Amino acid sequence: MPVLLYCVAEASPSLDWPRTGVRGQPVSRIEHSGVAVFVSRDPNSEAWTRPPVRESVLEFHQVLRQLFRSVGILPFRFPTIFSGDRELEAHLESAGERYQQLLEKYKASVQMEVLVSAVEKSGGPSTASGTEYLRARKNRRDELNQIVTGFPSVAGLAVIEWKVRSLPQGVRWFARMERDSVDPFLAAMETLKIPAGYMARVSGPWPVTEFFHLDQS
Amino acid sequence: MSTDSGTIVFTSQSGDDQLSLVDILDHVLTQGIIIRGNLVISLAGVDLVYAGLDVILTSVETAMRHMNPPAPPAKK
Repeated sequence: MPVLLYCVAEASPSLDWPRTGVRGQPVSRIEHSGVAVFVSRDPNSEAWTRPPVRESVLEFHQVLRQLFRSVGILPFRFPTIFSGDRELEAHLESAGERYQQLLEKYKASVQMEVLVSAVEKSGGPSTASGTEYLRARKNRRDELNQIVTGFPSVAGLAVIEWKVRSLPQGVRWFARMERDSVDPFLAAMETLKIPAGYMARVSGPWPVTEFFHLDQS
Repeated sequence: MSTDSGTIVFTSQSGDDQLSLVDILDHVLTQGIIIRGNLVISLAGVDLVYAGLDVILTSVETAMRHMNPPAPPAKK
């Protein structure tokens, strides 16, 4: 029977998770190779990704969210579906040890994010030439990077490590920290100086997906 | 929250607002463990599956563009 994977967590008897997940299917906990994996099973696996997919995504997120409240997790990207328990067990045989290592390293960590973007002026289309437009876009990108450069010093010791990623809509700054550093981090972020014409959007805590790397090929 | 004339917005994961919905869609669909190779079994309706996901991914991008609409230059 097809299996939808939610996430991996450390095998612990005290985990709390929702009993129903995507499309109302029961969420089961499997312990294998020293880790706990949370899954749903459904003979009709297409139901998990049938429109409206947004509902499935939100239900998937709720399972992750409840688990993540109490423990570190390694979420799977939605939708990760195996044909059955045999494939899942084979996967855990090969990847279980790596999952254990990652959970040990990141179990106390969370990820906070700050997306910095330019606030576009409303109104009619710009009359700038293509060259001027490209120059303005480069300048804006440089300014975004300059803004983000100051974040580590504002965040202070709360941050264990950080990364920056350029996105079409702006620049995103990812910070890894201990769970109990979130409140001091948020307080520090309130003191950020954001130049006029820009917006910073702070979100989190999230699982530390930006900081762990797996090669499952 | 106003700072140096710019703005800082703090979003939660409560799902109560559109900003956090965009964040959730972005995280669930674009982050997390990716398993490659033949361990991921194709579904019978794989084309439909990816068509559905494309719609959602486009929606996320559209939502983000809507939050920060670009201003392409006008043709002269």
